[in-house]
Amino acid sequence: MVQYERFTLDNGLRVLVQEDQTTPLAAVNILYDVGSRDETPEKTGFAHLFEHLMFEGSANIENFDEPLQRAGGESNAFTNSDITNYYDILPAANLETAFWLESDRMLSLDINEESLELQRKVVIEEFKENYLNQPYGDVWHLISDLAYKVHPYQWPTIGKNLAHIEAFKLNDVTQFFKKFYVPNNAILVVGGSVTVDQVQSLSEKWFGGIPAGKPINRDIPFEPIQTSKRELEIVADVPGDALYKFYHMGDRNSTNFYVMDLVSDVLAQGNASLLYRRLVKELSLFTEIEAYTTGTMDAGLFIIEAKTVPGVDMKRAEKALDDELARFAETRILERELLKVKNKQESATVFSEVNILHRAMNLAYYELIGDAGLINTEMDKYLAVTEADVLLHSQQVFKPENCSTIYYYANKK
Amino acid sequence: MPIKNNGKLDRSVTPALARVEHLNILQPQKLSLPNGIPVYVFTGLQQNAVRIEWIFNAGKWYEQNTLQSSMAARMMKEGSKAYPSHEFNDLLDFYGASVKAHGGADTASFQLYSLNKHLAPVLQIVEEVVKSPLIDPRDLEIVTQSNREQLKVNMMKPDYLADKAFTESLYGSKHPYGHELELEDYDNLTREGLLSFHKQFYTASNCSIIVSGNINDQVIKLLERFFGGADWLGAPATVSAHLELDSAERLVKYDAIEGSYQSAIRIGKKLFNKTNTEYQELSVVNTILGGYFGSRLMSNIREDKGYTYGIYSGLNSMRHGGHFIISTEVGVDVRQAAIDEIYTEMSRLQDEPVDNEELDLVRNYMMGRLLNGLDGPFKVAGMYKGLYIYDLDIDYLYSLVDAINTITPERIQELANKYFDPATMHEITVG
Repeated sequence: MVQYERFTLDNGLRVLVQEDQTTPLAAVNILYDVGSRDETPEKTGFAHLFEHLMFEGSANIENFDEPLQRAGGESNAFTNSDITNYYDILPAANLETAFWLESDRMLSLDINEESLELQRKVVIEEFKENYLNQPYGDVWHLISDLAYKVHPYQWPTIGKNLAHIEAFKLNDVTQFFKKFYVPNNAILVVGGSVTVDQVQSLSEKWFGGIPAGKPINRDIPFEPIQTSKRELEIVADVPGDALYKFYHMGDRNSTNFYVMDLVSDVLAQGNASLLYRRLVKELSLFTEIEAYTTGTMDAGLFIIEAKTVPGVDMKRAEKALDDELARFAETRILERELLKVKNKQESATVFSEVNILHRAMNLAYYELIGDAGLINTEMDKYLAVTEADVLLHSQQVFKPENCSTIYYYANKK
Repeated sequence: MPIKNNGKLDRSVTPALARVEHLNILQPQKLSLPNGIPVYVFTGLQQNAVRIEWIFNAGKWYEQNTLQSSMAARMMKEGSKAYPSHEFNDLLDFYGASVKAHGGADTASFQLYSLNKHLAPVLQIVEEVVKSPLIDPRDLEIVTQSNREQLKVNMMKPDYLADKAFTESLYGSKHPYGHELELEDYDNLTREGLLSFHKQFYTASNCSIIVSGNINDQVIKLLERFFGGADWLGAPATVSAHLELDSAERLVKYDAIEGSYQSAIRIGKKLFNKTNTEYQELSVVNTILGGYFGSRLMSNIREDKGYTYGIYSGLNSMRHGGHFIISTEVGVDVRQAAIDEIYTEMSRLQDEPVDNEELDLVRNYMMGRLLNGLDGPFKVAGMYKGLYIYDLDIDYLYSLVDAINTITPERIQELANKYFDPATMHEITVG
């Protein structure tokens, strides 16, 4: 059981406190409710570039990391399609340093042409390193683009292309900051060797005076239901053929998510999983197979990716995969199989609670999706899944017209 | 946009800092199983969870043929005679347990993560796989095929190729520390070779166990019951000698890859391992140069020039040696400029004393990292693993704290001159 307290400042900043007196550390996590889904199709990759700019100093602080490191701390951040999450971990005795740093950049980020140019270059190198300079590196771009026609999930968080990153202006920075980096669009979680009173007074002191921003009206287009199968063939300089099949599914809060999350485990998590046993071990069609859900706040994807055994015809391997999925959606899975994935989930939850930073991040995310209490109750949602649910939801998801497929062929030189 | 003051709060004043003066490190309880296996216990976790790690002298150092160490470890995840692959993995899943296996440079390790409540049945399943894994031919074929495909992917990545060329340049491609995998290595892999490797090295006489988490007598009793017997005594591994390349002469090599977006750069040299008397002080010098986000290399090459997404330097330690390495991936067009800046930063450490402000920051940062790296039994156990294989103990960390807090700018300069001279560095770039 993770114990926590929760309060809201007058400016709308939500604050959660998770005391743990067994550690000498404090974790400070700030989640901003903004991600690449808040971008427009002509200006993609900005939420992530902006994350880099947040380390470039604020009105009273020349460089974000320097004072934190001097306090014995370390920070980092990540951006995805839904959120931008920043965290600091430092000796609890220096907690106030993190409040000072985080509040100053929320109040008055200080970005000039020079820092924008610099981080633009860094992000371009990041783009090259992770998406251009390695085999299959572009597949996430291809998947997003094929699956989503309207919704902003149609581009990856890094951005559609380098040209978008190259085009951003200082004005974009100012507007984005003003709109999204406001206390009423953020969630602060403080964990570790701290007290609720201490966090309350520090929050008031450092964040209390930051003016609230305008309420954010999101007008994110709804992805229409896919009515026919989609296919894409790619030939590239990769060492072997790979198959990607993906299906539209529910959002992070839907029952569909909890059911299909368990289904992804039953199908392809580990060597005892159904698809591994049938398609890798028995039929020797694939060298590896994986299934996972994207778990996004708007309707997400169920993705299966597999690498074919050299010499095996991709379409033949795909047919066998389709047959397995069809059979799965028609047959009740064993009760024991379901209990198994639930036990795995329970264990994963316990291990994820060991680390104070994970606890703080999880609390912030659960608060965002509607209820911080999920940190203790989400397991019940998994436990409530029945065999009948698995059947029903698999039938809904694994329909041929709901499927997109990428055939990624190795260039035969 | 900027707002200087907000009511009475003066944001220009930095909050007062507390120094981390000393560490309270969780000490291991040291036990022995009846058959002599040393067990190091780190307890105190609030959650009802356990990690058990079996460590064998069964790393690459002990191989007759390449791949024996990593594949013998890997195949432990594919079950035993009583619990073949599917049953083994199915039962582990059923109890929510998971295992990791790794063959490293000197040792191989098998790790088990389990909730306390399922530990008894889980250890019963794991016992046989540790003592005598099945290594079914079909499972071996599948794992080999998947690994080969992954290796083909790696062989197309400049960073893998640069790492490979770099370690080869230091130790020689036949040396266990210098050899990185090639596809041909899989041609000589046999089931018999793996079974005999396992039989020789995965024995009680060659094993240590580190247990961490929520550890009570029940956990220890289970270990005694399943792993404390005389049924798998074996013999301690004897240390074989390996011919090591004399890499004192500097090597500079550039393999261009047409169409590559980035070049992977590796710069470094052979040094020593963490038992060397100067290692701890040198780790402070390394931190200043490239060991953290605020380091000189990162500040210059990423945060000032924007040549890279990241650049780090590190001291790699093995039981029988060690080396220093700087690694980064940069735009192809700025390859030479980045290399020049790397050497400039090394020379600057040689030529100018570090000022007190920077040294103070690095001290605090390193102490904070230690505090974090030792937070809770899992993390201390992980840190301890990196000590005991060198016959070092927790005391080593206290002397590291001393080195961090007492090293002087003069000493840093002296060490930089002794070890970080650009003229002695191997320089490998690929892409």
